[in-house]
Amino acid sequence: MQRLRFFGWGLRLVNALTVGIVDYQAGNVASMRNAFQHLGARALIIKAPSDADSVSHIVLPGVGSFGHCRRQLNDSGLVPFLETWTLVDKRPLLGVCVGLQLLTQSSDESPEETGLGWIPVKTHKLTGSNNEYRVPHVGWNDVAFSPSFEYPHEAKRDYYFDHSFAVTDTPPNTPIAICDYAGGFVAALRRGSIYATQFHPEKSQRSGLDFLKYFLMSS
Amino acid sequence: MLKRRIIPKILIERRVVGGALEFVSITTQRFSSVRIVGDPISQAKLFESQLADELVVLQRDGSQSGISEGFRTLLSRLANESFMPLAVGGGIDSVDKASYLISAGADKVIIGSAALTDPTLLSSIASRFGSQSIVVSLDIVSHGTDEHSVMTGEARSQVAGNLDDILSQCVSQGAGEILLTDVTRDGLGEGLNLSLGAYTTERIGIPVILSGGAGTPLHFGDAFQYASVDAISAGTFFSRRDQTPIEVRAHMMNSGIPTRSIT
Repeated sequence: MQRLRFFGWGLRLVNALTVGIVDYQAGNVASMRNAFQHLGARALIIKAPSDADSVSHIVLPGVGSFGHCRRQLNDSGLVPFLETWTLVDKRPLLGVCVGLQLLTQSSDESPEETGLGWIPVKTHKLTGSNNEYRVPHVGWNDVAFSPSFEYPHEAKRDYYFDHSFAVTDTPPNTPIAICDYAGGFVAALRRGSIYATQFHPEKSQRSGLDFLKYFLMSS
Repeated sequence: MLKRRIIPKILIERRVVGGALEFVSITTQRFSSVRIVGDPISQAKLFESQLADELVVLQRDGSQSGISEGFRTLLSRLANESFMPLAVGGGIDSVDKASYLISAGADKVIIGSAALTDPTLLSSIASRFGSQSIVVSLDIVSHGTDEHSVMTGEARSQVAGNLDDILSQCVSQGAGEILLTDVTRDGLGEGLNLSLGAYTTERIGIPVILSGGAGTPLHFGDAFQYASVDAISAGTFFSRRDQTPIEVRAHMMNSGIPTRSIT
């Protein structure tokens, strides 16, 4: 059954898709755009709702502090648009790294700001130690996808991480993937039309490009 | 499990090539004796195909030449043609310059001498981009296993301070990683400074990248095992010795050191 569903991917043409990448004036949006273009999709940068007319998928990319990105998002006027896009129209949204964290209720990084709150959990600082778990968590680590995630690549693969904060509690009714570091945290999640990763798929070479393709084809 | 990283380093400098001023990649020995390697873009693509875990791109003497438009253009080309993390530096002394490079495709900025002279720089970059995007680069001369000086200036000949003090200062101001380069071992291939690596990993809780002196895959294995460093960066080793990240990875796998699975 699962196999059949993924077979169906072939019917959808990546080059008919347009990915809108939200620019917070902080992050490295160029790498995300390159990755989608490499897969054959069109990709454009969104700074205001009017930039998003023709897009089929939206990405909240992942470099910047939680507070800075949240303030930029407010100033851009994109929040009501993204709410309708995601919660009302149920169209596909991918949050990456701080983009995942912005979907939660709050973050220890910037307690003065609230998150979008679409994923009912909070983002916490990872607890490290000199000997075992260094923080920031930087580098390649493996990720275990739960069967309910329906991610077709079951082979053990490494993804690139670069973060000090993460979702350490399990969100209810949400298929997740776990990374076993500093007590474990949510490495990826899927809730309705929302996809989110703590790792950077745009920097994870082949395993990352496969994940981006999965986002485009299954949503 | 988090994997230990192998990070090729591309050191660049502006040179007149065919009548035009262009960036070429170079190697040095002890921060002088410059030798040209070739084109930084083709070198980066080679490292990507050899599955490097990350790439360091440093502009030599950047504090004098500054961050030019040409440097930014080079960086966007690098980011366009690779899907691996890029840490970039050499001349970043303000949040605006960090932002200028991050918006062109740098995932992390490497801060060198400016981290020593401007005490607010690291915290200003961290509040906008997060600590995980800041690598502080310290060039070291060791005097025995427990005494290490941070060096600055031309050919790193002046002492800027004591490593212990500077480490705690950088960490409290928001550094996300520390890149250590042993000045006297740079480019010689005679082995990494294990006591410098061990000294630093014992003192701080952020990731430590060791560089300067890698000459064989065994040197990498020893530094991961005995100095517990998170990553090793090497320039001359990957550019001049017919060695690739693939051979280092094979040695690490055989020694039981966690390394990225290649599938």
